[in-house]
Amino acid sequence: MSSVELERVTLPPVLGDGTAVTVLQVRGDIDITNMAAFELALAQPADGGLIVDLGRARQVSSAGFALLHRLVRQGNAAVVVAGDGIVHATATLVNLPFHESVAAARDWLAPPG
Amino acid sequence: MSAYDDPPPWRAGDGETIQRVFEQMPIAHVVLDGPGRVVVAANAAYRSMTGRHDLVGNSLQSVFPEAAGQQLFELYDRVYATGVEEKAREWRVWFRRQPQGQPEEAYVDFTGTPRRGPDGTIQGVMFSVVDVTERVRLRRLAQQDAAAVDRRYERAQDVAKLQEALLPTALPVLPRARIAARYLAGAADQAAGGDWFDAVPLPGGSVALVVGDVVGSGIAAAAAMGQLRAVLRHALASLPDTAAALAQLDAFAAADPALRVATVCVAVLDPVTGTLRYSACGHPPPLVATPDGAVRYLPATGAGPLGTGAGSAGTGSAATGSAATDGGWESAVLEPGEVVLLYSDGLIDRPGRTMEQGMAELAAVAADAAAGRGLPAGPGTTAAERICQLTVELLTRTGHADDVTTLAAQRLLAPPPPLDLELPAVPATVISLRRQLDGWLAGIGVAAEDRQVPELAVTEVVTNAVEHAYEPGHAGQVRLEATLGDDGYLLARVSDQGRWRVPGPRGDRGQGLMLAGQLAGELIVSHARPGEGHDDTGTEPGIHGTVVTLRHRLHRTALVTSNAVAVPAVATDAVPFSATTLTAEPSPCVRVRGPADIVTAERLASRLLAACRGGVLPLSVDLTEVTVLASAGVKALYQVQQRLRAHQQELTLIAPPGTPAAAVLAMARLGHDRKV
Repeated sequence: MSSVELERVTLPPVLGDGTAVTVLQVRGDIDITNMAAFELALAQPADGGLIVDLGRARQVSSAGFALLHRLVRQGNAAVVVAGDGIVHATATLVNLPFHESVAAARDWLAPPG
Repeated sequence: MSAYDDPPPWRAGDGETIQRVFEQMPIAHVVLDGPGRVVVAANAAYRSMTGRHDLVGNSLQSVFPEAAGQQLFELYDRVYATGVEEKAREWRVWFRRQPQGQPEEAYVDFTGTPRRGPDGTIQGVMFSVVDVTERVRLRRLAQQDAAAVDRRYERAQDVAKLQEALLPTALPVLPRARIAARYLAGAADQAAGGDWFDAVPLPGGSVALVVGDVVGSGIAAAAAMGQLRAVLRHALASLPDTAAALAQLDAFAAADPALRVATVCVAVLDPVTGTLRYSACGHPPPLVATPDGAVRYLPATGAGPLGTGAGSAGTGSAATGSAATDGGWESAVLEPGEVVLLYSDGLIDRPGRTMEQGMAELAAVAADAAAGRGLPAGPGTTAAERICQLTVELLTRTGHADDVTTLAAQRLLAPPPPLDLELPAVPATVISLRRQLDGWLAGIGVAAEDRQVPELAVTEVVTNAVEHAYEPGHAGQVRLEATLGDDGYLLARVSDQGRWRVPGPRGDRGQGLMLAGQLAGELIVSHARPGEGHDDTGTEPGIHGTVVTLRHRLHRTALVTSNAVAVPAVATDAVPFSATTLTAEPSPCVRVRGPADIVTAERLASRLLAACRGGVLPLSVDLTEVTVLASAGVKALYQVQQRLRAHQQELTLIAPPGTPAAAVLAMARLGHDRKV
């Protein structure tokens, strides 16, 4: 199996009465060998919204992007692709909507004010 | 009675006090003596910094033999011979703190000052040294952090974008030649310059290597450079003969004053035979280095700068010429393992050096780099990379005003063997094939950051075969074959013996092949029909296997940098520019002194044109005391020559052998007399 780390981090709400946003940080490769684990991680409840941060992912396969497409279509989720590496290039090629920072994704999910 | 028996009134203090102060000084000091570089004193800070206590009485080279090839001894010798102090900033050194220990890397600032005896003669050299290794490390960390945060904003800088767009970002990866390049922006104007380089694969497996230099610096020079580079690339791609391509470039430059007097060296290497055909149009000749550290400059070709009509750069055939000079072209043979280096004059025309000295220093550093002696250039670097890196690093540390460009190609003994793997069509195979492809790509010289695209493309195709070629429960194989073509393209072929299935309406399938095709650039799917080989029509679902062929141009990222700590170029002779009319009409003669460079070129042209009344009088120009004749100065002389020719008058240039101007004029094909 390829090396991948999936870590969930909860961001405190911007306002006192807001809901916490969950960030799923991805490190390593998403490919055929860990697709099931990735799909399971995406399916975990995240009431305040889920941000999938691919800033430290090395490669993401087309099947991984297909899962992310489905997640974003379902709503209450956003993807972050920072930098200009191959993950950024492939996300652009497959037309995945993404943000360039976790802060921007959080503002999009839960606009301040 | 010695000079010390009767101490003069200005004496600094008693010997014991001075010795104690020297010993306790916080900055490391070492004092060396004579041509043998014998250590006669080293204070506690120096001993602590180097970790060595066996210094006094021994020569520097016996204590630090690993310093050979790092230009340290050469620097000592220069200061000892000339009496001129030299300073260095963030000089990368590689030395042993223990006699039997492993060499360590460090960065130091230092000043080498001549040490004189009572009669004023130079007895040795004193060095004051500051270990700045930690400072360099912290700055690099800070730069990395800043770069990560501000990358998008940095790109908004218009000049940097222009430069980035005009210089090649990548070099081809070829099966029989390893190519490397390095570009360092001039210290005076790091935004953009007039140097350029290119490496263009040609039909038949040859590769054209190009280094050029447009007069001047800044946006205008970069724009001119971009035009010349584009025209030459197009000509190389569209014309069957390299000489014709260079002729087209020459004609293009002749039509635009901003492009005239640009210099260029074009070398066409056939890595199979080793034949190297080259033309250096006003440009310094290529240098060849052997794996054991021997070097030779190739003969000049007799072609002048572009657009000047001096010499004929574009005649003769680069493909079929003989060994003799052939219309501005020369030929040589590059043996397997040898490296040919093309470079811009910024590397040899440096402050305080004649061009001959600069060429000798370049040859010495290139020899050490080719043989892997002296300063390490990093793990896994090739001879071409070492030469490009170390010549730029070692020869610009004491200052450089102009852009510096190096482009090197090493002829390889044999092309790399193809990759051919066949494994079970199971998920783990995807990982295994990717890793083996990664190792193969690394072995043929593709840098890590440039391997990701072909690896992801192949991974997608292999994943597709693993997931869809065989029915569940049916075992099968998937095969990956990869070769590197003479044109620099990776040809990767992924095949299976299963059944091709048309993607379903949900669109889950097909994304991988689409992505692979987008990444690779070219992708062809072919299916086997019963009893036949593979076809590439893609119209009939295959039941006897699928073959997916990817074609992707491999490249290495070219290193284009501006040196944040470049030492400003300051001429050590400090002779100011002047142009004085010695004899008046009807045959004026002007004596030029000091630098004829981008700063003074306009004044030079103005003074010369005034002396010859705009070109109506014959003019002699004495360049004997010119300290630097840069490309801008050459262009000024060409302009004056053109004006004189329009009035059927002659320009006579005077530059005795050995003067800085003589070598440049010979290279620029500007005829000159040897004496006044």
